[in-house]
Amino acid sequence: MTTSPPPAFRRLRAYLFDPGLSGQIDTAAINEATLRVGWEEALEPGPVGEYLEVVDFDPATGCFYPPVDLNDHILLAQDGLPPSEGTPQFHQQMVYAVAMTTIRHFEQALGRTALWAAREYIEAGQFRREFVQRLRIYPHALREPNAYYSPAKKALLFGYFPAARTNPGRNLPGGLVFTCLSHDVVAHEVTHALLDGIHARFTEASNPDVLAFHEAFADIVALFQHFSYPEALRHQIARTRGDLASQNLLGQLAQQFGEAIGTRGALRDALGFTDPATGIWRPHKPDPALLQQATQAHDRGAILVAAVFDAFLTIYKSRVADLLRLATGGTGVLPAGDLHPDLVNRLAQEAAKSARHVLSICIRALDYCPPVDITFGDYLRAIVTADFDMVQDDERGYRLTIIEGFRRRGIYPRDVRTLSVESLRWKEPKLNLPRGSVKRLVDSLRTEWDLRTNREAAFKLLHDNCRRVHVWLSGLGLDEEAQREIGLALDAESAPATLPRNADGKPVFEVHSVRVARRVSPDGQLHADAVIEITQKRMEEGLGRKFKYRGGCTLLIDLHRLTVKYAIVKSIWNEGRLERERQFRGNPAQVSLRATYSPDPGGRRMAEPFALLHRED
Amino acid sequence: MERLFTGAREVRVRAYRQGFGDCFLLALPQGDGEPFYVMIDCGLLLAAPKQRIEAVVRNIIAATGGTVHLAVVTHEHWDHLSGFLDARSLFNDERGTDPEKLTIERVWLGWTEDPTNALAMRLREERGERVRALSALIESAPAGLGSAPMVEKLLSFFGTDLAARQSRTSLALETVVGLARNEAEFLYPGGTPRTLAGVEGVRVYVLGPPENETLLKRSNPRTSASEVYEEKGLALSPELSFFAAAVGSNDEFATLARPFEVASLTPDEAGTDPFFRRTYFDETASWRRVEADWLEFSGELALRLDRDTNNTSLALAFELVPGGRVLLFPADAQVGNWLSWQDVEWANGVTANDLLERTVFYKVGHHGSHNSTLRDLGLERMRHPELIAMVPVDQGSAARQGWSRIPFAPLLDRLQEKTRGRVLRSDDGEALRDRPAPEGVTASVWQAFQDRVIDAGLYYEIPFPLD
Repeated sequence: MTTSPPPAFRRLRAYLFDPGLSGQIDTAAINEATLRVGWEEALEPGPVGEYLEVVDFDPATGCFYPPVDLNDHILLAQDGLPPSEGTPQFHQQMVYAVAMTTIRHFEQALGRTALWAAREYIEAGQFRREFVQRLRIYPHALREPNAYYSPAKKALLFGYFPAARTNPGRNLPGGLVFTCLSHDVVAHEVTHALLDGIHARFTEASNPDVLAFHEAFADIVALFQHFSYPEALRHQIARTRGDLASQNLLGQLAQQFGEAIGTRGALRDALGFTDPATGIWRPHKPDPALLQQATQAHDRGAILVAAVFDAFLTIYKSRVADLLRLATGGTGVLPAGDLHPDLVNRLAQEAAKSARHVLSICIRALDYCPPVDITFGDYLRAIVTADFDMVQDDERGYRLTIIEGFRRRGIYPRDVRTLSVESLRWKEPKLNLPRGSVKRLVDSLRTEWDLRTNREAAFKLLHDNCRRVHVWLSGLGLDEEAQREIGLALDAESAPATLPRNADGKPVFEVHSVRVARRVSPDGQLHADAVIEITQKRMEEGLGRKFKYRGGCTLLIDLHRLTVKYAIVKSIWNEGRLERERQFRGNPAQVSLRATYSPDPGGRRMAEPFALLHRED
Repeated sequence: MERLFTGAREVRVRAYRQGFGDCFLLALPQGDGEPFYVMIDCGLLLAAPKQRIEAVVRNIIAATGGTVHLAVVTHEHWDHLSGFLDARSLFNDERGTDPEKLTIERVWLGWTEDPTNALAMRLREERGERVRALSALIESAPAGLGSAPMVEKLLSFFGTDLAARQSRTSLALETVVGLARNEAEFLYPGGTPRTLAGVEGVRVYVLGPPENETLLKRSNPRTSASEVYEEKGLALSPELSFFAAAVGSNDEFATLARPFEVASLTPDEAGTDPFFRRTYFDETASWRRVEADWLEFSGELALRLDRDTNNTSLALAFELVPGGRVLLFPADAQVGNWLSWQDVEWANGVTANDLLERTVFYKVGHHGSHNSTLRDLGLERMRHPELIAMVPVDQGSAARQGWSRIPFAPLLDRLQEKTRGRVLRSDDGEALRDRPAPEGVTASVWQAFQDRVIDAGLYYEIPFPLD
C-alpha cells in the first residue's frame, strides 16, 4: 500500500453569509458553500486544532453540547455536517472553518505564523507572561444580541437571541438568531483576537481612533473575506452587472443580525444605508466633515472602512475598464440584460484579485503602526510605507488611490505637510549610531520566524528577542537628541518626572515585541525586517483623574542592510499629545453611562471592549 | 421657624440641601399677599438618615403654613420621591386637616405616569418587570458577576427592597397621588403654557418627557446619529429571553429557554466526560471559563432601565413674566429628553431656545452627571448674565458608591464659567458668606451674590425679581 501525502485542505460546509439568506430564493444557492480549510492532521473533536479550541458550553441553560469530530469518516466523505441552525455540532464546525480561513489570510499577508496575545498575570507578586496556544471559541456563551472577543479569556463568546417582534426583517419574529452562524461576525471577532495578538495596547482608548481602528480593521477583514469565495462573488457580480458600488451583499456585514435587532438592514454597510423613513437603500456620500462628528467607536470605524472600500472599488474599476471596453466594442456601456458568463467570470477574478491586494496591504500595514495611541492618519502612513516597501514602483496607482479614498473621508495624519507618498512615508531616524551597533543587535536576534515556525517556539523567540533589544538599547548610550528622535526618554536626569524609574534610578522602558516581517516583492526580491516595539509610560492626571500616558516607537530594522529603516514614533516627550489625551478623556461623549456608575469601567469583566454592539454607549 | 413670604414683585426659591436628592420650594406672589407654593420633588438617596428628609418636610410645613398648592413629581426615582414614604407621617391625607402636617392641593406628573395613556402604561409595566427581574437576578447572582454591584446600586434608585422584591418608588408615586386633594394631572409637552391660580404673569412651560419613544430611550451625548446603533429594535424579546433563563420570570418564554432540541450533557455529566474534562474543566485553564459572563448583560439592562426612567423626567420652565426671566427644572432629563425640546411648540410661539436664553436659574440635571446637561442645545444656550446654577449632589456619598464621575468635573468647570462662579451645591462645605470670590470674579459681583442668597444650612434661598 502506498502512503499518499495528506490533503492540502479539509472541505467544510458553512454559510457564506448567515442562515437568513438561505431562506431567500435568489441567495439560497450561493449561501451554503464549502470552505477549503488548511488540513490539520492532528485535529481533535471540538474541533480542537493548532490554533483554535471550540468548547460548546451554554451557561444560561447549563447545557454542554458534545463536540463534532471532523475526522469521522462519515463527515470526511461529505464535507462535514450540512448547514443546520438546529444542530450545535454544525455551529462548531462553522466557527472553526470561518475562523481558520481568517487566520490563513493573516498569515499569508504577514509571512509568519500568527500568535494570540499572551496571557499576562501576577502570581505571588511576580509578573508572568504565558503562551496561549489556542483561542477558545464558545459558540453559545451569551444570551443576548452580541458577540465579543474577550482579551482577558483569550476567547470568542457568541450570543444568541430571539429576533425582534417588530421589524425583524426576514427573520421569524421571536425566532432564534445565532451570531456564531454569521460568517461576518465570526470573521470580525477572530480578527479582533488576531490584532490583539500583534498590538496588545490597541485596546487602550487614548484617542478617539484607537478602538475605532480595532472595529474598522475587524470589519475590513470580514468584508474582504467575502471576495475569496468565487461562487458568491460571481453571483453578486452578475446581479449588480459588475457594478460593485451598487447595493450588494459583498459590501454589507451581518445582514441577519442587523435585521433581527430591527435596523432594517445589515448591521453595517460600507456602501450605503437604508433610509429609515422610506426603506430605500442609498449610497453613502463621502463627507470629510463626518469624521469630526463621529465619536463612538463603531461610527468612527465605519468611516475608515468606507475609505478603504472606496479605494478597493476604484482599483477594481480601473482593473476591469479594459474588459468592459472589450465586451462593449469600446463604448464601455453594457447592453441591457444579463452579463455573459465569461465576462462575469473575468470580472469576478479581477474583483477577487483587487480584494486580495487591498486586504494584504491592510494587514501588512500592521507592522508599520506605532505601538500605542494609533490614529487613522497613522494607519494611512503605515499603509503607504508598507506598500512602498513591497512594491517600489506603484504602476497601478494603488497608493494614490488609497490616499484619495482617505482624503475624501477627511482622514489626514496630523503631522505631514502634503498628502504625497513621499511625505506620508515614515522617515528614517537620525540616530548617529556607532559603527556596527545595528549589526551587533541583529547578530544577537533570532530571526527564523516564518510560516513554518512552531508557534510556541516563535513565542519564546519573540520574548528572548525582547530581552536582547532591552540590553542593546540600555547599553547604546543614545544622546538626548537621538532619544527624542525615537520618542523615548532614557536618562534619569532629563526624563520627565512623571516617568517611573527602576531600582537603579533609570527611566523604565519596555520592549513590547520583536517580530520578523518577511515578504517577497513582485520583483522576486526577498525582504526581512525586524519590527521592534518599545514603550514607556508617564503617570499623569487630567480633570481630576489619573491615567497612564503612553509613548514609544516602532523601529523597523532591515535585516540585510543592517539599518534602522523607520522610526514610527509616539513621543513620550510630546506635551501637545498629552494635552489632547487629557481633553479626550474629559469629553462627555467619551464617558459612558457605565463609566458613571461603576468604579472600574475599564475593568475587562465589566465592559468587554470589543462587543459587536457596544453595551450601553 | 418662620413662614416664607415674598415681595409683591419677586419669586423666592428654596433649594434644599438634604444630600443626594432633589427638593425645591417655590414661593410665588398672589394678589392677596399669601404666596402660592410649589414643591418640586422630595427625595434623598444614599444611606442618609430619614431625619434629613423629615427636617426638609418640617421646614416646608413651617414655611408654607402647612399647604403647598402644587407638588411636582418629576419621575419615578427614589432620590426624587423618598420623602413621600419616609416622611409619610408628616403629610395630611387627602381629607386630613392637621395644621402640623403638610397638605398637598394638587399634583403634577409627566404623561409617562398617565394611566389612560397606553404607551405610558406599557413603559411603566416594562419598568416594573425589569426592576423585579433584576432584583431577583441580583439576589441569586454568582460571586463572579462583575456587574452585580453596579446593578444593585442602580436598583437603589427605585428604593428597592431586594428581599421583598419590591420597588418602593412606585408605591411612593401612588402615595403622593393619593395624598393630593385634587385629581393628579398628567402633563404633555407643548400646547398652552400653564398658569397658576392667583399668580399673575407666571407661566409654566412643559418641555418633556418627549412623546417619541426613540428619544425617550436615548441617553448619551453623541453627535452623529447613525441609525445602525439606535436600540429601538432591542425592545423586549431578547431581554425577556435573557430573564427567562436568568430568573425564569416569564412563562411565555420558558419554551425558548433551550435553544436546541438535541442531546446535551448536564454540568455533572460533562464533569466526567473526557472531552470537557480536558477542556472546560481543566484546572489550569479555569481562567477561561464562562460561568457568569452571560449574566453581565444585566448591567446593560440596569443601565437601560436607569436611562429610560430618567428620560421620563417632567421638565418644566417657569417664566416669571412674559418674555422675562426663566427658572429651569429639567429634573434628571437625559439627552433624548433635552433634544426633544427643540421640536416642542407652544401656542404663544415661545420656543425652547427662547426659554434657555432667558434662564436665570438652572437646576442642574441628575446631580451633575455627564449626560443630563445637553451642551450645544442646552447649557451653551443659557446666556443670561444673571444665570445661577444649583447642583443637588453629595459627592462624598456618590464616590462611596463608586460613582466618581458624579458630578462630572468638566461640566462643573463650564457651569462656573457660564455663571461667573454662581454655582451652588447641596454639599458645599463652607458657608457662602465665608467663601472667597472664585477666580476671575470681581469682588463686587461676588459680594452682591453673597448678599442675595440666604445660606440657611438646610437650604439656599434665592430671590428672583418679577419684572
